[in-house]
Amino acid sequence: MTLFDLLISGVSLALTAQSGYSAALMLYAWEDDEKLRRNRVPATFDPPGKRFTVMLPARHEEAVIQDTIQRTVDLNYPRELVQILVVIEAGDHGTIAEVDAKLGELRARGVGHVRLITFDEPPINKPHGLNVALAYATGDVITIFDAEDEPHPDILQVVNTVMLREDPEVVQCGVQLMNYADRWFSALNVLEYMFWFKSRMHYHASVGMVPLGGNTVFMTRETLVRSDGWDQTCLTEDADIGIRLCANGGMRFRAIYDDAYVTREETPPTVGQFIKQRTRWNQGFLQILGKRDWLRLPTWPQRLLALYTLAFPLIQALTMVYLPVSLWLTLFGKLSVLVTMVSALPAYLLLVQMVISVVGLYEFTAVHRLKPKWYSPLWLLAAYLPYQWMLGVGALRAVWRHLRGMNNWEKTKHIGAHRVGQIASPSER
Amino acid sequence: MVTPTVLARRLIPRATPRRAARARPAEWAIIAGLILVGLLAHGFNMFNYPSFTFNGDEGIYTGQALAVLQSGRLAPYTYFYDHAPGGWILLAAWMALSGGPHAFGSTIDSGRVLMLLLHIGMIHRLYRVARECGGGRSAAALAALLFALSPLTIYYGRPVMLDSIMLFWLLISLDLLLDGQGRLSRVALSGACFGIALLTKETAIFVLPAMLLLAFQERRAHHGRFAVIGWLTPMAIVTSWYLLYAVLKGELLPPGLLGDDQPHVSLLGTLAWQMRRDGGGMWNLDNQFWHFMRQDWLVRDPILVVAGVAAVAINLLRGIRDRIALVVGLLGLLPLYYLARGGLVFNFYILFALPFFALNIAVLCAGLFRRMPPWATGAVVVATIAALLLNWWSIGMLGPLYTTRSGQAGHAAIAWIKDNLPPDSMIIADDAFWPDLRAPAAGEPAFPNVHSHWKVGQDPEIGQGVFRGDWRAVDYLIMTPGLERNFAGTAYPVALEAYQHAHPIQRWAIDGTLVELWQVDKPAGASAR
Repeated sequence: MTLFDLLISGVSLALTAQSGYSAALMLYAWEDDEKLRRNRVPATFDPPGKRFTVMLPARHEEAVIQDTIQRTVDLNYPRELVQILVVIEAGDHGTIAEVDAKLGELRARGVGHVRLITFDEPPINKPHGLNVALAYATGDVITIFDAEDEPHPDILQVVNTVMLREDPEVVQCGVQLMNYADRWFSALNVLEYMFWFKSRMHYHASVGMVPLGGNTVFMTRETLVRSDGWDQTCLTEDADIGIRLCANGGMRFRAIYDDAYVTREETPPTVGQFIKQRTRWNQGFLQILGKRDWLRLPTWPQRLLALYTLAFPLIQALTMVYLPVSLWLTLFGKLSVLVTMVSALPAYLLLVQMVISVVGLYEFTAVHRLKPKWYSPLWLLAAYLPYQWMLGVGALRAVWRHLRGMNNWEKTKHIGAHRVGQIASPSER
Repeated sequence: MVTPTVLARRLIPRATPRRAARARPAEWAIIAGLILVGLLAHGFNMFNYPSFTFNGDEGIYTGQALAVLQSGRLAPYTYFYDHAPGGWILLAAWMALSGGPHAFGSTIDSGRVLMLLLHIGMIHRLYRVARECGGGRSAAALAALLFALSPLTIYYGRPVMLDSIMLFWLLISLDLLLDGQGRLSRVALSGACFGIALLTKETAIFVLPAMLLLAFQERRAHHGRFAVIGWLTPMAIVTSWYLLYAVLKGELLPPGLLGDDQPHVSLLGTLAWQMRRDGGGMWNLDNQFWHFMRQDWLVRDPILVVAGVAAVAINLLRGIRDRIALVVGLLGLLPLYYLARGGLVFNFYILFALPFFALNIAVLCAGLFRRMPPWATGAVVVATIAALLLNWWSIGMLGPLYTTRSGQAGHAAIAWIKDNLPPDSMIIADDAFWPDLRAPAAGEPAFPNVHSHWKVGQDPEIGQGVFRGDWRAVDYLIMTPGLERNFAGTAYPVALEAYQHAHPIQRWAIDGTLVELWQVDKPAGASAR
């Protein structure tokens, strides 16, 4: 064996281990019955007891904000126990006008638990808005919905029951992209959400290192106050607050992903928007990595999982570079048979991930009563590598921007595709 | 409109009807007892009987393990895909871990120790599988004892055979798939183990339908669509390494395809040859299956074979209502189909069916046992086994397993050759003598010019190259009964011609086993080298 052989084998085995680990995380929820059971909402709901503050941060959401407010008002929970805070930057006159009109209409109907909160000092971003709203929040439990979200009407009942029965400090409910057939990359994007919220979130919970999601996350007010609110300088304040809570004494956490109760969202409308969104997430993760809060996590498994999760953009970029090399070596490299077989392992694991994705597509469509086209899996397979490259671009772009210190917020555009598109929720069919 | 409750109910998995066989201390005592029985029944006298000179296959696999261990190749001669290499790679790993090929005496004895360990592992797994298929402790112990004590299992289980190694992986795969705790990772591991079973001996493919049925009906409720695919994917990956290896060596397709006209070995060419090897056809009562059934299997252990076949039939009938009985019946039927399909069969192929016969009998008895008090079932098992032992002893199948020392003839021959022949002698021998003469223990001479008669007859590198197609290149022949029949009809009749010009110089006969050393009489002045 030459040094080159050893190097190739080493890199291949490391990448194989990484992909194997990542595949195991994707399938974690299906491991046994207990894990599937933990994902389901309670069979019965307890009487409302907790007071909720729902924050609706919005920016340039003229098109959807009225709908969003109406949906939140319509949540199936006593209004006297709900406070709704719409948070908007003072300069966003268009959205503010829409909100004002909606509030007027609601007050005329006697609905008075919605407030508009504006702020004008920089930075103009979501975590800043949330921190401003936190000062006005009166609920025991605070949650966030994004402007394009479509939460389940019973979601507050679910969380109230879980909070009363199990007394967690933080509950993360499932968030799911729905428009799987809209763009060439939609299905894969949808599956990423499914595997993340339905499966991987539970693994993070079991290890005790949880990067929280940006919405449909419920936190007690004490927890938020204890963590000094959100980090306004961080591009992924949601993941950051979860990791900080885990590092600063831990949190009582519960993840729930019941297919019927997920908060519905849409995939970004274009490749450009997708890459911008992904760049922001990756860059946020790199920021959190640089902040070093994760080093204060109490155990090694927690720290390693944090490192793996936060540095994943880098791993992803490297994998994308290595895969063609591996393929070339397998087919044309003049290596010994054994080394060639080892160098083919990452390609095998790529196949495994593709198979998992195809099966995942059928799981997703089945639980949501959707009918995939016969060519949907083929489409998914054809899109698989380009999608990985797109993720790779997002990762490289994030590294680049991070190194240049460009930390401004590139917002994702919402067009409400999951509300008007061809995919209706089961209850609307 | 679909209500959320309906949607949620669809996702609630069926509760598994069987509890996992999680052993308690009392159960561990039973398992330990079974293992001890298996250890003694299989291990006592295992180096001597059956003799390693009866079947050259032991020598072939041991020689190939040595090639893996010592030169990183899959075979000492050109590997021609006659079998997938999983079995002797495991054997090589065992030799490496256990302190070298001579840790237990001869190289083949080292392999036989591995067979003993695998046998014990199989007894344990068979017990667990019977438990997971609904058997109580008594029924499961019955399965394990039938398998551990049958003269058929012991006689064919002692030699280094790929069938035993394959069965070991197959039973692990089955156990993992049946595990009542139902973890997806175990399903995946089960698939990988089945892949290894296939890479050990391809005949494992015959029970694939039963495994797939099991994955589908037992696991789908728990892991949704990931169950079957979670089993199939690891299995396919492990299996594909064999294909990948052949592709990388340029030996997947037979010569003559895709513009490649150099003669070479090929995986698919050998596979096609294996499938064509005829055993008399399916509907022929004189085919090899019926021949061995009458002449060997029913002679060695009539009860396990007859009761096993009957239990398979009954379980298949019960399978209409009971899905576990269906799978168990299939697990018995499929190896039987493999044996009876009319293709080439050897006597030791019966191994494939034996654990499943035992399993079928036990699962059938489990229904009876459930209506009896526990002490009674234990007594029934003990009485049955005692009666069987008496039967095996009375038909003369038990005694020889522990008293015959026929392996000593071959060992004596090897020792004499090492003491008396020049190490550079050109020797043609059965494969049984190959490993110990080529790779002797420390301090003993090596015979680098001993060659397998199969290779002399068929492999151009040996028959044409090493021996130049000339019988005068041969110095000695190590002869075992019937060997000369294999000398005829080969591409390079070097061995046959040498035999015709040779005379015996030594003879070893112990307990009915005969080994002879023949010296080739060369014309005066003619020199081999």
